[in-house]
Amino acid sequence: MSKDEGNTPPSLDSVMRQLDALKQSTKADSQAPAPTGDAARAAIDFASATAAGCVLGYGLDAWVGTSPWGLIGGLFLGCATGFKLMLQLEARENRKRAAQAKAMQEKTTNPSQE
Amino acid sequence: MAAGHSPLAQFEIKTIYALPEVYGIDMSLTNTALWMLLSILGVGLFFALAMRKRAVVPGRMQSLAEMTYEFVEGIVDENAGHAGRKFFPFIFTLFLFVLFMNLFGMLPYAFTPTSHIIVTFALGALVFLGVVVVGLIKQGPVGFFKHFIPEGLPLLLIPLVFAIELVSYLSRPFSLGIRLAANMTAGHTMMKVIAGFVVPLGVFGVAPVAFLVFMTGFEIFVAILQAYVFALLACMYLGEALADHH
Repeated sequence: MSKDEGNTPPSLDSVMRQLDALKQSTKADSQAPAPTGDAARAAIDFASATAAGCVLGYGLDAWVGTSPWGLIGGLFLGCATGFKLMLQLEARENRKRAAQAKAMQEKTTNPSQE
Repeated sequence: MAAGHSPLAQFEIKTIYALPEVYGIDMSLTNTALWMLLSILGVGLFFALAMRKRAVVPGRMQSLAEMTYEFVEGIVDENAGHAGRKFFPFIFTLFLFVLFMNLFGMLPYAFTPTSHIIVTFALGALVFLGVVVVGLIKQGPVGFFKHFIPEGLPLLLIPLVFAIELVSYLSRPFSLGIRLAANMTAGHTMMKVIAGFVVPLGVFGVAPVAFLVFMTGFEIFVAILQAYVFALLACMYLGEALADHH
């Protein structure tokens, strides 16, 4: 940064880019996943999707006056969304696991890289 | 344990200082409000004390404060990118508020505001509304709602997929709120239930006590972890709203 010591200070963006490059060069692979339980996450996702669907349906009922059909439809929609979220989570975890397994395999096949 | 000492009694809201109603809203100071105020005070005091010396080579307290700062900075940078730096003060405040509410809840006789879903849901809804506003400004209404419709979808499926994606987007404040409140409630209830075993078991009460010691440590870990998860998710949602692609 000493090069930039003119009368204008270096912009925040450029400093951040330099810092990022530095971090990238020092940090190896610390891509640790967020340590939350997957099962708990799926459960919370499902519950919250159902709640969101119900609230949406209930709100629609109150607005348009279609009670109780909005709530019923919202409940089903929320459940469907919950299943979609769970499937997405599962697919994401599977991809992560596959990538980890691949990385492990590469490490064992050519350990000279360490 | 005597009857009437339910493990859930600790979550009861009690009025500490009655105040008059304002437009039909009860403004009384309750234990929830008190502990929220105390946690804000705690955050302020912690940083005021830690940064009092402003040393170049930080002491213990100052490095703790600096570590907290850098920790949250890392979360923001990794998940929201450089465009998210503007929102660092918000995320930092949010993280510290939740963290101190969680940690103060671990003190004996304390009350945990984050064990109430309305508190955590309000925080989650605040994050959600902010993210929606940022997304609408940054991407425009069309670009924002484009995220809900994947490309190359048959025309017939668009309404259904749009509805599902909309609900899944709307479920975010709920999941933020439920996750935090459920974790805090579960931990505190479990500790009370196990504490209820200590006296009836007599000499063997040593076993639940030993477990409680372990549980207390674990609950402090959960308190920090859940504050981290809350900030992390807020950053991820923010990063999504700030991203220009799609």
